[in-house]
Amino acid sequence: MNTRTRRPALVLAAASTAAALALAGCTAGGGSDADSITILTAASPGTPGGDLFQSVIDDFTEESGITVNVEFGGEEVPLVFETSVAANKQADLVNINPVANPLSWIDNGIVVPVDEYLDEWGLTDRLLPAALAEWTRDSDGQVQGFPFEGYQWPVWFNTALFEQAGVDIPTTTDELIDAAAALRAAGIQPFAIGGNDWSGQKLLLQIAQSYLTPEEAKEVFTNGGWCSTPAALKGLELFVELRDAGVFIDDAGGLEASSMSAAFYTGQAAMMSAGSWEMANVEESLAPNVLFGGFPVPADGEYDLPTAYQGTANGYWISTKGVEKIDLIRQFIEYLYSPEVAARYVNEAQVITALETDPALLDSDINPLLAQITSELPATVEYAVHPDKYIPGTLTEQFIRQTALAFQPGTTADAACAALDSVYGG
Amino acid sequence: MTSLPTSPAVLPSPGARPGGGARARLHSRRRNAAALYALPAFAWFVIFLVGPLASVFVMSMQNGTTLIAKSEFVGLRNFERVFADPLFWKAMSNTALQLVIVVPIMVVLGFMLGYYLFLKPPFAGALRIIFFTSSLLSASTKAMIFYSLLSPNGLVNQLLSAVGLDALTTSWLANSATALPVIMIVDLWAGIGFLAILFSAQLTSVSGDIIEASRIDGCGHWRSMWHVAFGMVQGFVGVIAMLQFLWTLFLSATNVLLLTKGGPGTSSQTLSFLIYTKAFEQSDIGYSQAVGVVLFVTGILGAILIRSVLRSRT
Amino acid sequence: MTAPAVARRRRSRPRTTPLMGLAHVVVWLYAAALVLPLYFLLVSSLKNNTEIFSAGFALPPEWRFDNYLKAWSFTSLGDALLNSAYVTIGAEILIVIVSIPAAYGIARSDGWLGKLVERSLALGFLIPGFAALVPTVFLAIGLGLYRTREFLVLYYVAGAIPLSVILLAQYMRAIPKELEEAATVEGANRFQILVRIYGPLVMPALATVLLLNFINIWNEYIVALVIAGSTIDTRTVQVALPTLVTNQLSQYGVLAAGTIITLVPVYLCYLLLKKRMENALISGALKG
Repeated sequence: MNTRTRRPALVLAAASTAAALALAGCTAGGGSDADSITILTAASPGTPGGDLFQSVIDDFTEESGITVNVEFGGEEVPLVFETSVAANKQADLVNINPVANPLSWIDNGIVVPVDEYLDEWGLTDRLLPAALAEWTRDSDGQVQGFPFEGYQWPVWFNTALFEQAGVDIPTTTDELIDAAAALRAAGIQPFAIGGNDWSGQKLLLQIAQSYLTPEEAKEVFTNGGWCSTPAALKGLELFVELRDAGVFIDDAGGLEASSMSAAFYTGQAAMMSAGSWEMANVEESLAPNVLFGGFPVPADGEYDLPTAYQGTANGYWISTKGVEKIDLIRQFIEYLYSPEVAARYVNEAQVITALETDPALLDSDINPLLAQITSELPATVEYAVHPDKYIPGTLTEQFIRQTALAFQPGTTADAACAALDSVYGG
Repeated sequence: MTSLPTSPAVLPSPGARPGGGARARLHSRRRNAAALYALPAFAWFVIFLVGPLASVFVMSMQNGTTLIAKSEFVGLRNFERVFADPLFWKAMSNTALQLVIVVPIMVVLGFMLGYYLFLKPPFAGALRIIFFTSSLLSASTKAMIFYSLLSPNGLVNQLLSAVGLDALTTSWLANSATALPVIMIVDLWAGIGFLAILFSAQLTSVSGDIIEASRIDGCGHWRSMWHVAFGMVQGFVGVIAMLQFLWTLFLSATNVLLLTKGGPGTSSQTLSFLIYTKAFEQSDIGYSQAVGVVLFVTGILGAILIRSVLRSRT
Repeated sequence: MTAPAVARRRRSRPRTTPLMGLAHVVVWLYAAALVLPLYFLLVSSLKNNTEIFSAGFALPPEWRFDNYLKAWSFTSLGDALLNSAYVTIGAEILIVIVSIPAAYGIARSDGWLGKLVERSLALGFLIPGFAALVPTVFLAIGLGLYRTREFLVLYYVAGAIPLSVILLAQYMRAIPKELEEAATVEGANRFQILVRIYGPLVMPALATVLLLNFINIWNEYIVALVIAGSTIDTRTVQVALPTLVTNQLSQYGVLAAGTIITLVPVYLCYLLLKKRMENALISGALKG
């Protein structure tokens, strides 16, 4: 009786386990043959960069016979990579920016430094020095990966709207305040910004470092001390002054980066602060009116010229698993970084690369915005300290919530600096 | 109508087992034999729900940082850090505020509305459809709706301007005075109607005629609702209040994550969102799980408290 | 049910007290607060930003169905719907396979074991699985199923077990034991009894359980986000939908259209099975 009643139960248990295992089996794919490498990337198909990436890979496979498996990690590449390491299913190469979590990957032993490969594969001299510096660790001088895409992060001015309001493009904060008033008088919103997300955070920190030397700025970004550093507090006071003078778009504190670009692209606002990756979204009718420049600076500040950010967006990291296939990886990297392929990125996806580009390889009818941002912008601006490399990655989200507070009307500079310092507290 | 599933399991069932002797043991084995059919489900439940829940306690005493870093036992150090952190106390007070406001309003208004529906007023059918439709909306759907309504030039601000209340327009989701209230309103918005449906069903099945009789006897609606109807379904109200308490406590992270991400500043941080953000944004799993233990203990204590308060009044 | 009798009796009494009048007004104001956002959602889905912001309540001047196409292609909603369907259906099948025997076992066992299992499950019903999100991630990693839809299936089944088993067990208790005893005399074993006798009889309760779990699983957000993530191959509709906010330059019409698309399966289900769905929601005291 007992055995008879128990058997069906066991059968059921076995059946459900089997079902579970069968389901699990579906995902056990992921080739690890000797002739293939796996790349984890955020560049999803359907975007200009993603489509180009796929086409580059197809050409590479045809040329070399090496299969490339691409895994798409969306916005969460770092998390996807870290957990795949935990499951021992990590990709050989990871394509991601050198900010936040990835900065701890060498210490965690899940990627390898690439110093020796840079020299052996002849890349050291071809990479832009600034890009290489950005990928070099301050602590031990090791290079964390191969920088690939770069960016400029200027202020975008809609010259047509400035003409309509009858004001010049501002280069000092006083001019900016006057321009904002004139634009508002003409029914135009001045400066679009997403005060509630990272776009607002970057702009606030750009303004806040107006009176800081680069060294001081790095120190404050890394360790805090916004209230106790007079020059930092002065920068926040400048921010509050601009905010209260109506420089930013109405309700800036409630907006996000997507609303910012929408306001600029639809001609609602005359300025915004956005990276060169946005160029692909500019409609042809607007393009002739777009002028890239820097954010106006105070007359008594540290910078003489308006400021912008620059840096490398993404690059390639070699996982400890990838080292086992280093020869295949060498072939891929050499192909991707060849002058011809790098030029395709400029021509087809309007991407700025971290490489010296051979002008002969660029299309003659190069996108005018791209030409402007690469050749004209650098002469008209100074580059501010990019905060992402210095604010500890684990604090970034918390930090953004605090900068959002500063965009709210009524937040004083004292309250703002205390809010920023509180992030470093625990 | 079926009642909530919690009640039968908690009540002792009749026919307690006779004890002692070999025969009794054999008997007991036979009586338990059927229960073996429940073991696969039970094992599943233990592996995927109980196991992780127990691990919260273990991980709260380790110094885990990211999902990949190794962790070691550190005793109660995480709890010391948690209790010394102003952010935790901010989240704690926000959560307390949320519970004290949302749960009573939801249950009281839900009961009153349920009584109204029970009276079968005109267009009761239409009302039920409306209440049900909003109960079917997922958290992300509700968030998207409120995101559009409350955006700086969204419908709410449009309406305020239209009636001349420009002064009241604001960035609802990004203003530290309104972010937390908005989170609470999103909960209440669809929740009241849903509880009303539950209560009206319960009233109909339990006490239709008695309440009707009290009405005939000349009790006013107000008296009849609170003195007769409420008494009839008091136990049920207690169970719902307890569940609503636990849902509000544990699940606020979803709305916060979708709408305000805890900001601006720390104005809409809640305990359950703190667990999420510490684990997945700030690579501090030890801290996160220590908060998890606090949350869990709060949940158990609160549920017991609500239960005993509503029982003692019977 | 005594409803008809009640209704008849009430018709004869004076209808509107001041309190009742106030109640009508308040209730309908609340109903309006529920309906207007949905109406706004519907008309917005056919407008562009300018039209939404200038006159939110007006009917669309021209019907911009391309919002739906945009929402569909920008978020790969097709993939997301397939993922949601895969997860939901997969979980439902496993729920049936494990819950029916479990409910039968509990309903027909009067020993301590059955009681223990039932009480443990009842306690499990109280604590949302979300409370243990972080260890759940480690479990998924340990099983090699992190960032897969399959782990979501296994997890949702576990989450559905307490409620499903308890509801089904309650229902099975009401089935007379004599039916089972008659079958035993004819030589059927418990498994055959379960399939042949209980199977058909529990259909109504099973339908309730399936509906309830369908809504719960289809609508679940945060575990789907953390476990399956937001990559196109694995994300569910609930995770795909909020990505419209960031990747669509704040086109509220597209956002509204995407929201409506994700609502369709659940709402269709509701319209088809209205009565049963309402009972399911009530018996499960479900929350989103």
